[in-house]
Amino acid sequence: MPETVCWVTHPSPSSSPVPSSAPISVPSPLRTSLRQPPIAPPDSIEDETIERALTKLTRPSPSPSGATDILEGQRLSDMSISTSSTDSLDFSPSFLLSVSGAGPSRRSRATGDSSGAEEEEEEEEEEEEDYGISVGSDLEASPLPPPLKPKLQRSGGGGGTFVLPRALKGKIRKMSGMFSSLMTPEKRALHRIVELSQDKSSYFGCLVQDYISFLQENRGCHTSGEELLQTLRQFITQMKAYLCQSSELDPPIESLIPEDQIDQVLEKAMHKCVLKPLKGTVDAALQDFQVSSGAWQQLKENLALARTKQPQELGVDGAVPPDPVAIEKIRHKFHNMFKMYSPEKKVSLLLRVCKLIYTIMEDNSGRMYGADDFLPMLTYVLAQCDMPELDAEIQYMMELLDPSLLQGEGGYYLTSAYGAMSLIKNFQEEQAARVLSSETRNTLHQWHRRRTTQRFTPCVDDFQNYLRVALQEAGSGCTAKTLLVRPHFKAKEVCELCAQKFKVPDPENHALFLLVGDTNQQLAPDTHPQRIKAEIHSRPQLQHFHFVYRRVSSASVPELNGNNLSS
Amino acid sequence: MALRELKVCLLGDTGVGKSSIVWRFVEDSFDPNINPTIGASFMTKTVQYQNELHKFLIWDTAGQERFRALAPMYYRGSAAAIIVYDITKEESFQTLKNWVKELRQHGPPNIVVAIAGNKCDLSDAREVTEKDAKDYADSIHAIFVETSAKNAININEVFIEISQRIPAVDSGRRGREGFQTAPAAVGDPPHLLLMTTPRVSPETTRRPSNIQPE
Repeated sequence: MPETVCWVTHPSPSSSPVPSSAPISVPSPLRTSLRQPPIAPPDSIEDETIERALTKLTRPSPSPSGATDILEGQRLSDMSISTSSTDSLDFSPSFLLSVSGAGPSRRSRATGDSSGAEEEEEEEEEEEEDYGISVGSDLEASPLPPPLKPKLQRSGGGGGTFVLPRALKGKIRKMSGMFSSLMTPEKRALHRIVELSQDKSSYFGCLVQDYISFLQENRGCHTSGEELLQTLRQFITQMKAYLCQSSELDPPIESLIPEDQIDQVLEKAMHKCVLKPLKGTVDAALQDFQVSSGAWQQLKENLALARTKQPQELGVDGAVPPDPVAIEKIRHKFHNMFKMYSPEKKVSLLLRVCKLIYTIMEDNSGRMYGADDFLPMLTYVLAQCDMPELDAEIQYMMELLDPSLLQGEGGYYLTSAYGAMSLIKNFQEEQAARVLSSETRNTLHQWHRRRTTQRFTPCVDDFQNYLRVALQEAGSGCTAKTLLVRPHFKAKEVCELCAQKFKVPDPENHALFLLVGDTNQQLAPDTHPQRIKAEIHSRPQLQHFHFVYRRVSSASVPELNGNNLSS
Repeated sequence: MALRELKVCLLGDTGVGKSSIVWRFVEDSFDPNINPTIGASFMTKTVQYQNELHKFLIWDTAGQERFRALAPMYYRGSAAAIIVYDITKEESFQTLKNWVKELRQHGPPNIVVAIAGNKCDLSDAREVTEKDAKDYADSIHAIFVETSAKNAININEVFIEISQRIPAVDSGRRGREGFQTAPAAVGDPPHLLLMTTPRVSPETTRRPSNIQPE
């Protein structure tokens, strides 16, 4: 394992001189170390991060520890954390420079310069193989000397097969076999799985290739982006289970990877096998769903409005927001995020953005900030970035991220980004709600009354696209559900949705009713419940109202008092 | 030694010192072998409890009213919630009671609730008596401590008590394995699932219908 040795002992991969004209035939162990997955950050970087944390605490620097310790102590939820630690390159002594002065030099991709921005670029190059774009152009654009990337190995391992002529492929296979003996066990396992997924004579390869072409041709069979992503997630999980159980993988994965790491290696492999070739399809489908539902336009308008707000208006209290140069840098990071197919990699970029926001806040005040300060600032930053694409990105990460990572740091900031986006998405509604007089506010539901601040907070089902509907059945009282109801949905469609969600055996006898105060009326099939809701919301006098799904003949149903439904 | 990851959610009004409590708790635990987190909104600390290691994944929330609607996304899947109030602000104690109600209605079942009356170093300005708070906590079977993040009083104790109340692995299935197999969101009402969408529940093993083996 020459790589491992080199990786452990190499002092600082990012700054060490590399022969830029080295011949291609030997894969540079250094490069291998650079391309090590997030679970194995170079230890020198590790120490920088730790040192920084310790400096904050004005504690003595720790003695450098062996990287093997780090690996052993690694856990799933740390994965996102450790990817962010590679970002600590930003915090080399020049990190201030990278924050404030990165704008102009950001796109200059000269190597050899070790400013923070350049190092970041380099690191992005490292992730380049995970961009869902073709390999050939990738390599030409790369500022790093080609020898650093074992080109042939890459080709055998992934998207290259789509680019390279078949004749060449055979040779490469052989050579890649030679290289694979030099690869780390994880690389070998990944490589093997990807190879298998492209081999249609295997059952696994068949499943994967059939699924990919099915989705490419039939993306319209899904009703929403969410559903599409959930199906994808399910497929990935099933394929992982299949790989664990089947004997198609030779050598078996257990022989290469320690048992507690198998799951994450399989996850990564499936991203490469499935998400990478499907990236274009999925991106386009998500965009289509957003546009056709009207959500895209709505989001654009709300973003435009939110963007005009001062940090204070979004709840920022005291902390210094990023300046336009920093916002531009954040936008750049998000653009890089858009290019990746791996949800983990995307999340690691989100973490970098969050870290940058923290750095700016902390550098200007010297104190630590918790969620009271961070979430409003994140909302402000996302509004300033003015990127409606982020919504689908967040959806992609939330649906596809390995569930075991959702409780960790990545999950936390993903949740925060999702929350910030929902606030922005509902910004107009919030604005409207804020003009409510203080008297009417007092009549709001109990949970709105917890504090008498100037603001009314939209509750979950007030959010656009959600509608709370109660099922009323004789004898069994009421059950309420919050349904995903787009603004253009008609009452008829909502009824169908209700029939399905409440599992009503006789939908033809049911209809949607609106209860306002003591009056209740049946909604005609072609009315738009979301518009009705918006209309009631916009009335000067706030009224309690409920959407109820129930039997049309109400003879056997006791008179319904709207208060029973209060949630 | 078995390692269990425990998600802990921090709730309470803005300014009561939620993040100061966490910062106090984790500050002495910087270990060169553990990656620090990127900021104070999410922090982790691993402590030993009996023959287990408990890794606390601490999720801070924004206490401002405008962010309230987002809270379910943060407390869902939590093994414990620490609800913080400021002993010098009666209003923050009322907010706490509302959080308790909300957690009961929408929070994960069996969530361990801890109540922390922070800023107990400022007893001159006290508005909430220790007895009132203790009685209330007892009535809902919650952990109760008065803390001072400033003077590092009772901070570790909160977490020790949480460790004690977390059900053992085989019964509670909340550990690392449990997270995958026991759907944390099982008690969440449907609207929370709709809002948050990431699925923690195990996915079915049914094959997609469009794929037929040859």
